[in-house]
Amino acid sequence: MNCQWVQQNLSAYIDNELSIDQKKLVDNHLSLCNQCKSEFDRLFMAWDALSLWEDKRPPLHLKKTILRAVKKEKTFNLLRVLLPIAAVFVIAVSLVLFYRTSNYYDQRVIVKEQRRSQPQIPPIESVKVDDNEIIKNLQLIEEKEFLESVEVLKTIDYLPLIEETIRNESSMGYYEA
Amino acid sequence: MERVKNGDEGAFEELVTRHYQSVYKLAYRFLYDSPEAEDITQEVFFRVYRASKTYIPKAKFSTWLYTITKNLCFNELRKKRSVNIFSIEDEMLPELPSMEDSPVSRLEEAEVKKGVLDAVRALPANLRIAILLLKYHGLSYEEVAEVLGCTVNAVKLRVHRAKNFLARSIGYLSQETK
Repeated sequence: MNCQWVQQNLSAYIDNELSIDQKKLVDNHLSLCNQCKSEFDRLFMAWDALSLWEDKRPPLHLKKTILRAVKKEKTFNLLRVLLPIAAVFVIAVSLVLFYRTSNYYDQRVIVKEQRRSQPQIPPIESVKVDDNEIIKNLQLIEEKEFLESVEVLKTIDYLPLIEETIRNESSMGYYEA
Repeated sequence: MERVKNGDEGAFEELVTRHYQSVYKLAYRFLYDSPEAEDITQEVFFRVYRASKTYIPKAKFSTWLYTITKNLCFNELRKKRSVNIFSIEDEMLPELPSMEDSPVSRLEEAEVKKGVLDAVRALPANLRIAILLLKYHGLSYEEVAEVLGCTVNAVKLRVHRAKNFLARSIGYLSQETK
């Protein structure tokens, strides 16, 4: 083992990063070589001097700040997921309502137009009819029906006398046409 | 982290309680600025929370946490542009002032301490973060390599160079005080 190898590995030796065998070799070498020993002392002193670098504790509020900020982030993330869903829902509901409302108005317009096109029938209560006039009209209707019945009877040539035929059948035992 | 992944709110609080101090200390020692270190600590846990759903444990959780912290610290440095971040090949250690220019009388015991801290602060960012993780956070060379995204040999080299620089600075200070 030469001094060059030892000096190259002195830092790892200080940091306890050498294998057990390598460490033993360096130990032995340092006990024999003054030059390497002084180099070791120099580096070790430097490394040891770092302990002068005082620790700084984090402020007390830091943990709470971190947790609060992450909670906010969590809420924001939740909103980021829910907002598009809510937006889609609102749009869908709006569209359905709009469609229904427009249909309703269309139907109302159609009904109005239909009413306009139909003839105006005055309400029954508004018509005042005289009783004598009704009686006169009824007589006319009866007369008309009677005359129509006479006209029908005129068209019939032969009307069979059903009662007479039945009597002949019961006395003579046969039917006479 | 598994519990956090499954939406356990108490687990996240436990995670913050366990690690926020070490994250803050690393950021503070690296940046020397308390408000910035607070912001970075907050941002680190934000990122942990955001990544918890997709987190796949590949290494120790603390290594992952330090990697996020280191990246945010380096970003902060880039923003400030006060410190140049060189690659390991380009890293240049600052020159120590010559003995003749230094006023010997003003250096006392407290100033030696200040001098040590100044020497650490003068280290390039890549070396500084390596010794911080190694010395104050108890990481091994392998873990430091993982955090810094380099090889173990590169870490070894960086740490050796940092120690050498500190030894020179402290040697210079102790000679001055004599």
